[in-house]
Amino acid sequence: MTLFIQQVVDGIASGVIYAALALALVLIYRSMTLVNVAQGEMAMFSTYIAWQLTAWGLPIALAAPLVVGISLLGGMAVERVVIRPVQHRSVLDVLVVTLGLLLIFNSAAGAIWGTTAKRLPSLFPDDTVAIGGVTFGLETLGIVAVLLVVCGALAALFRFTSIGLAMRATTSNRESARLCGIPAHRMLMLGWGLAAALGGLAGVLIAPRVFLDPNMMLGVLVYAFAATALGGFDSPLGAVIGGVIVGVVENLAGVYVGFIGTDLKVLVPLILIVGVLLVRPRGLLGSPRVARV
Amino acid sequence: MTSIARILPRLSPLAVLAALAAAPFFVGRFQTFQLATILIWAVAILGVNMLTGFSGQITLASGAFVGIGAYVTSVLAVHAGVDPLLTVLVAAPAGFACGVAVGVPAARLRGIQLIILTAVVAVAFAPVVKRLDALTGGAPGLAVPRPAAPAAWGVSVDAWVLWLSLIPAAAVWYVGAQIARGRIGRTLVAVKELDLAAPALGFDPSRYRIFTFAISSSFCAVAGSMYAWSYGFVAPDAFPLTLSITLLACAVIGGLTSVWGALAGGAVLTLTPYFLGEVSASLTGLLFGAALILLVYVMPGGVAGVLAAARSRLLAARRSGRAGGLRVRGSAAPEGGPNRVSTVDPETQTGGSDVR
Repeated sequence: MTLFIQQVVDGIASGVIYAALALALVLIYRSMTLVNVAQGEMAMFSTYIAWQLTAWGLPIALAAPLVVGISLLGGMAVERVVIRPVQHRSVLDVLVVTLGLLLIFNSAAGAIWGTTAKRLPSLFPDDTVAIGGVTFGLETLGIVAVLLVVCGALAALFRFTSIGLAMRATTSNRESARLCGIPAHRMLMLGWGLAAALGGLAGVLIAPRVFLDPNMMLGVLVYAFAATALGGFDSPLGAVIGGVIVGVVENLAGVYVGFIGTDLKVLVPLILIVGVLLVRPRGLLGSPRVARV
Repeated sequence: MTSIARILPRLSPLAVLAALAAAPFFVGRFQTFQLATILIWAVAILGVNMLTGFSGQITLASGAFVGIGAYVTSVLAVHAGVDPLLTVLVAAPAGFACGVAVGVPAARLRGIQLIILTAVVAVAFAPVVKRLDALTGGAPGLAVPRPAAPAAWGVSVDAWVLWLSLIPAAAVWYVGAQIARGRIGRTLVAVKELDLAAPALGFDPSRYRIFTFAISSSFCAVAGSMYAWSYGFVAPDAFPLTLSITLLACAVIGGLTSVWGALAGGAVLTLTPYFLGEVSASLTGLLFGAALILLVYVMPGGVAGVLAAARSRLLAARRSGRAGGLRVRGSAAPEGGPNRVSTVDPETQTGGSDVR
């Protein structure tokens, strides 16, 4: 039983990171009905910037918030320069553009920092505390705490501030929002910035657990996809719950299903995605899709 | 004049085939190898074209299907000692079957969800291959005997591989062209353009989607077989997610709705890293990514779409030429005349018009 609880706890630790990236995906999906396929690669790029800052001698505790800020501006720049010119085009066109972004960020990281894996120092001490036979890594607890604070801050931003209200209005109906005097374009830019910042944070948090290389986030992105598919593409709460579920199921399957083991954990999101998309395509908390013929 | 215009399109595939077959007599071994590589990627890109151009589905699993074909050939050749040429007869149906397996859930999904599903397939490919290491050789990969001509003929391996590759490539081309020109191609475009209205017209879009997905996967698997012949080596990490995106990029560069665009795309995919590789390996990805974005900005039909637009303008001009309409049309076109290629025909922007 202790083993089981331990595995669940470990699963939650990776689950919250999937949740962070999933939340970034949902932020953009809600504002423009688009999944930013390059979200993971943008996060990877942010993480490399963090690594570069630490390599220049900055402590990680300073580099991390700095990178979140840089990512915010970077995300806004990407929306302004790359996405806005195609935002009125077909879904296929915008998707292809984000795929191009994925390729660009992936290759750029390889070109700038090389493809050999790097090690990013962790924000948290490498200690553990044991409660009733279950070991909690301080790192795990730290990650969960940071992401809880971030989720709380995001929820507060959307609920209690006028910027949050304007962003929600833009999401709900861009044209009407614009008629009310809301600078809808700027809100979309801000949405991309927030998503990139969230992704950057997720990258900095997960990088010490996996090695930092240009393909680091492709796997995480797949888990985040599974989380959004599970929770519903347009539900922030669903993304968080979905992320945690994916993390826990992945970990349990790795331990208890012999064939899967640690190598084939990546099959878990695949099975989850296929299952959810077939049974309940809108996800647990998503809203149903309607279309006019 | 009309008869030439009608015969020419039928002759040109044979001419290309003949030129490729004759190439080893005129170019070096490395260039021969490159031609075979162009064929590999052209076949895979044709598969992508079938799916994205005609059926409007985007897949990120195309690289994984190339991998499946490559591994079917390698495993059969290494473990069962099957002649590499014959393995393509297994790889193609295997790709088709895997395509059906992914296509059945995929047919219910649109844009984003489909991207997600196929992205997961692409990411899952390498771990699964590594896990089945008894069969696949695991992470280090598997060396495959390259097909060789009887020693007495004195033919280089590269030339032999190129000639062998022409057989499946020609077959795939024939099937692709038949589908593109025929009833299926037209229906696919209808299904793509009128997603929700197609059932009302009596089509079952799902059936067509699954069929296209399977055909596309089968083409990719054939490309995989050819890959194993050419390189003589397969490894799980040779078919990553970024390969699928690169294939899509080159399909878009070549033109999504054209079977000839696939050949152009294959050449771009093969030659760009060759010319840029000396600068930096990562430069190719940067370039393809940027090209993908810029092409979506400026010319939705891709190179072939622009060429088709130019051709249809040319034909229209000639048709109306007898009635003296050429002048009228020419003056209506922007300066530079009717065959200025920078103008995209509004029809081809939908990707549907060159299927006629």
